[in-house]
Amino acid sequence: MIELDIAGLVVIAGQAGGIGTDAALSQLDIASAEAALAEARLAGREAVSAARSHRRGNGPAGERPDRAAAAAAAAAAAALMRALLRHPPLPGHREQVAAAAGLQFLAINGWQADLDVPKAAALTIKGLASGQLAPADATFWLEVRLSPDPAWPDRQAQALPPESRARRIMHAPMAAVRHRQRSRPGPFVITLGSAHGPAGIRTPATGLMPFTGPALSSVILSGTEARRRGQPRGLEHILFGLTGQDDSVAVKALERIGISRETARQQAENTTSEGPPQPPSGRAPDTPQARRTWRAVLDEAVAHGDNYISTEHFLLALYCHSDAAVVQALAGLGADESQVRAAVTAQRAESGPERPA
Amino acid sequence: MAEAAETGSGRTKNMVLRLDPALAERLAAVAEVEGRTVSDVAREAIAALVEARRKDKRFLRQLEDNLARHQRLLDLLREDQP
Repeated sequence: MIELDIAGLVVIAGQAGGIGTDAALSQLDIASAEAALAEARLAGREAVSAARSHRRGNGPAGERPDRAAAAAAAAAAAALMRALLRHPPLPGHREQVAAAAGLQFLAINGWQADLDVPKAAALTIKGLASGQLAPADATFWLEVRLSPDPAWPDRQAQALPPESRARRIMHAPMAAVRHRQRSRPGPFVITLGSAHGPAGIRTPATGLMPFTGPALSSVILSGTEARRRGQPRGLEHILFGLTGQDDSVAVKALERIGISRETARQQAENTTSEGPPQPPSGRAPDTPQARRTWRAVLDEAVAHGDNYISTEHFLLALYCHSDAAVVQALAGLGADESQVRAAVTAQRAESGPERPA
Repeated sequence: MAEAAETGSGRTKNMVLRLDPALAERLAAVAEVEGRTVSDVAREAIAALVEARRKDKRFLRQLEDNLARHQRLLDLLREDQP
């Protein structure tokens, strides 16, 4: 794996901090930078080794080599970010430099990170900075978002003889697409439980993240409500489902801000509309926003260091759609994202996690 | 690993550099001959490396792409900065 050196770090810090390379060099804390890079090298090698041995011993059967490589790259990037957060090379830009360096490390090793929910990514960096999130958790979070850089095969083509190079250039776009499709992190499966296992969200990187009891009830209720109204499941149905129980962390967090369960439910009602009734069986399809929310739910769980999916993860995930009517309605009642996050933190500290399903 | 230490006062600061022994010796020798501090010599050496990296077009293009794609994340981290 190609490692970052101190010169690369200066260039990254200058750009990420918005101060330019010269200023970054003059402000560089050389001892911290050297300490961070040395620690990252050591921790990265250990993490990569651990990720590989874990995959050999417990990885999914038939797992593709590119996913094992993604796990190793994610482990090394997480170790680098953690080291730079512990030994900031540039005063005042600690988290930005760590994030940018981690992303650049992945890029020079041929990986792209698809961080489509920036808020969750920021929480992950902050969790790493505060020590609330272990590098192994950040590795899991990052791994599923990695895909090979489509430009990588182009670079390899440079070394081919002219005839082969021409063929590669002609076929490069499709090859890149196929390469990307092959290397997607695999199915993102939502299961509502069966004789074969509990309900939850499963990805190759995280394994099964089981729903808590209230979260499972919310998911079922949101689907039932969407079907009853003859609509695909959207954000308003998810909020409707969340307000179905009065003992969930999500409802209690809203109550802390002064929003009762009934008021939140009314907001969900107000932002939805009726469609033709649908049969009460079968699964309601999700709107594109809802599909993205499922990813955000997983992001929130991992960013909080949880190995389960709870109602507060759903509530916070709604805020990745800040323009959505239901989110605007909650914000209008005083529940903007920062207040909800603070209320969730306080509620979790007071009541602890929800009971398992 | 060797440690090259220097003690400063006023606007300078104490720092410890963990260096490869051979590199530490060379840095100390250059500093001695030129009458400068080890950290000055080290910073100058890093500046030369940085200059070379600034000409690495592939590295710069990847960095620009990365920063542009993740601008919102960097903004969020900047906003929350104490």
